[in-house]
Amino acid sequence: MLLLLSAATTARAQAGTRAPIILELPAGVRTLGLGNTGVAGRDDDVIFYNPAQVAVANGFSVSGERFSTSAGSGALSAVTRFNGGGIAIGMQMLNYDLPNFFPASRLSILDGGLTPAMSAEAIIAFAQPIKGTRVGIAAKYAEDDMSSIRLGRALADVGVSRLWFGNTIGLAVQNIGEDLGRNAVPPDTHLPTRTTLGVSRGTQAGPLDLFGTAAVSMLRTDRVDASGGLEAAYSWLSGYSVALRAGVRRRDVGIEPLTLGAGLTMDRMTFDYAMETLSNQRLGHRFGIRVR
Amino acid sequence: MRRFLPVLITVGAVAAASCTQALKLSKDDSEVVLSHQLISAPNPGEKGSYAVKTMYYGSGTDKRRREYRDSVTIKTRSVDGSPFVSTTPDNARDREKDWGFGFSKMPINGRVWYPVGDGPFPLVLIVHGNHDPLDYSDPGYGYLGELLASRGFILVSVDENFINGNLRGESDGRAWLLLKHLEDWKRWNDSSAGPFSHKVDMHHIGIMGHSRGGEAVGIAAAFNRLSHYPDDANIKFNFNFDIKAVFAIAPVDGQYKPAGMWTPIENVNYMVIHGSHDGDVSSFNGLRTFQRIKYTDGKPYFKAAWYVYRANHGQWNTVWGNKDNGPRSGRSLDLRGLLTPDQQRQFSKVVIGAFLETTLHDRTEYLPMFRDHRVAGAWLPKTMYITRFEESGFKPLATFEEDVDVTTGSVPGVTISAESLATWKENALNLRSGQNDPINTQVVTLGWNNHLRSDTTKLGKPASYTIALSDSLTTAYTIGRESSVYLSLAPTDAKPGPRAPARDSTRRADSTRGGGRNAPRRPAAKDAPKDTTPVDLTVELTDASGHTARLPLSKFGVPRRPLEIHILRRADQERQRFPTTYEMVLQTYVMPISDFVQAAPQFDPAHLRSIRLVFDRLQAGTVVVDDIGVSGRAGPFETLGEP
Repeated sequence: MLLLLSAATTARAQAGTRAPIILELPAGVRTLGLGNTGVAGRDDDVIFYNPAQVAVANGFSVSGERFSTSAGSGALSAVTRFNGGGIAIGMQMLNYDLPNFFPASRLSILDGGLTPAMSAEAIIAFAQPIKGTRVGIAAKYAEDDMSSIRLGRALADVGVSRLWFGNTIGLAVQNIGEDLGRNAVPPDTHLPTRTTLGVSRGTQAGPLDLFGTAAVSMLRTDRVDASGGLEAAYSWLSGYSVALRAGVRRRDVGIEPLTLGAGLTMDRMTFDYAMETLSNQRLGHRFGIRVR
Repeated sequence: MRRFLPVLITVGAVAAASCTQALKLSKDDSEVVLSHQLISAPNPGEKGSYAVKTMYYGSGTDKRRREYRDSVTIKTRSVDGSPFVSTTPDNARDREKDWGFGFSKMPINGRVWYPVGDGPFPLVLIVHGNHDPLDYSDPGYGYLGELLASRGFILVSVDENFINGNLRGESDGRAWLLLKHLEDWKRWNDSSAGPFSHKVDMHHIGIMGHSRGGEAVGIAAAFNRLSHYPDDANIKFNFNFDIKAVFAIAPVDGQYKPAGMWTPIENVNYMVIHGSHDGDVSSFNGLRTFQRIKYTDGKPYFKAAWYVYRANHGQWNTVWGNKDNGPRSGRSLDLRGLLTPDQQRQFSKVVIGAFLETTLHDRTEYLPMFRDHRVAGAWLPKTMYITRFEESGFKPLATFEEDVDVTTGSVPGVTISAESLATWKENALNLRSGQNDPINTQVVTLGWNNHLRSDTTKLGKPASYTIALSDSLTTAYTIGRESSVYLSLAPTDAKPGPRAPARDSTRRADSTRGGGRNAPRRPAAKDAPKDTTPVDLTVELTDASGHTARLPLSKFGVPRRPLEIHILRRADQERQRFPTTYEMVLQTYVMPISDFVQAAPQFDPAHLRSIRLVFDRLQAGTVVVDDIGVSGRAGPFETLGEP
């Protein structure tokens, strides 16, 4: 353990300083195809991006992503209507091989290591519309597990959203809580507390249903990210459609800007695929099933 | 990814293909049914002899509609419709911003087609229903304007687009606006100058409406006779126009209920048409209105209802088109079976023309086509029709509304009996949309199987259903050779199983089984192929001396099995939304007693004692029957010969 932490401290410069890693991973397939922009989304996995939108989201979904031969993640979320708003639960888990430093970053999980590790979160969210504004709060628990140690925290997300001239505007502050114990990790390792402001809008263009979303977010005070994506869907029969998606996001450690996606909806069931570009010309592939 | 893509595409294509149902339509019999043309009057769907002019009247200030801003011949004052149309403050503010006026300043806008001549010409108003407010609906009746003006009517297509869109329960506002238009027309007619000075026959007014407008014309007919608004008596009415004709195209019904009641309509000629493949108002709501209309003042009126197979909701209006639920509804609606727009509009031209000629021009030669549409076979587009008809002289014998005793009729002096029926019950009739959408009428359901269970090669005595009349009732109803017998009937696909053997009369009857009728309740096997044998039965009239006259029902109309309807492309959605694949629309058979006398000269109609339905022309089947009665003859009659 001491060896592990020692190695982590020395390698901090080449890795991230944020933990748990699970809080920085994509959690929805459709969302990932749109540049991992979900703060103004309406799918059930919006629980991982903005609890306020739980008030209008519906369905449940499972998805999984393979980052490398040794790293893969899975997510599950579900929303149901509750008291005029919505209530949702979600879980996400990452399995990977920890390299010789902690905390892991999106780059280091691609390279792998010798120590099997796991990062996970569980979240429950509640949202309610108040005078046209949706207000949501989520409580969650996230942790990083490395062979014999477990570092976990109870966290909270808060969010608001509102329909404004046909646009959905969302604002969320995520991962609010106390940083991981200073004795166990490098001293400046902190939670990826993030404030995100985003917008989405759907419209029709000829036979296509278009959806666009964009967001800007601030990670604590040291980094501003921007992302966005477009989706074009075509339906030939009520309840059936195909969709193509493309998104961009700011380059970061381990990730490249471009994401792509596709979806096939058959009545209440949607099969989604997304691909994200990763560092060193790698690709992450994510598949999911949504049921409305 | 390459491995998965073909799989996904294949799964999607198979799933989509399996969900799109094959086109299913009932076998068309129109080539036979519509092979006659017995009315010799000019085709009411063809243009008449008048030259036609058009004009606009309106506010002259309309922000959105150029024709009502720059092209108005007569400027009109706005009216305060706010007591009748309401919404949330936010929506009202948005709408006011969009249109440039609120509900308190509704414009009186209309586009007019009128004949060139001295007149006076009957005035007909038509109003559209709910649709995209910016896809203006009022020009869509231009084809009717050209037709009717050439035949000597003034047609006004009323603009109510400004109350289209996201409003509910505003049908009373639509109705009230129509009546406000009529007030302006009265003023223009009474004035000593102006394009319509003394050219309007204000004693012959017709109002027509489509969809929500179709409900609005019924409400307008009711408001026209009232002194106060039923939902706020502080608002006084003083209309009292001579509305002689009300025509509803695919109407809704009950979206507005004055004082919480179904809108009562009285003493007006009424006609409703509805398409079987209506993708918007997907049940024949107008049947409920048809059932409600009452004639109480002793004057001659009639009401008629036409169910048009393969017609939809929007093609009656050239703007609305064939996608009944918006531009993208082709994704959900099956449009393959629809009549062409020209066919559908040819139908509306014929029936609207004939209806208005009959009611506003007193051209009674068109009346027979409402009693039996087969007499106008050359005019009607080739599809299948089910029609209802009733004249104000109709006298009920059995309408099944009065009580739960199946042996009593609707008036004293009527007794009902049945023999060898497998099914005999009175029940409520619902629209296709389900149990929660009743037509508000009771019917009798009669099922029979003349085969004997013990030996299915043998037939028992034909089952029958008899309405017996007392001598005093026949006298009171003044039934004679000039009278007609009415009944409305629809066969169903239900087929009872073979009849139990005749009971051994030496044994004591088991009162717990079947109530004394030799009728098994067991239906035929569910997986039996659908019976397509034509349905027919014998109508038998008997006089006091026991003389009988018998004619087949099919002489007076086509007894058709239910017309199959599939509105949606997806079979699963169709099943989810509708409990049946058909709308139970009864066909009215108007049977001149003179035809029975001709068949059996010894039969004396003045002493009619019974009307009996004898199920001897089809060995097993079920029919739904309503509105059995008699009527004095009104207007000319045309009847086809033996089928």
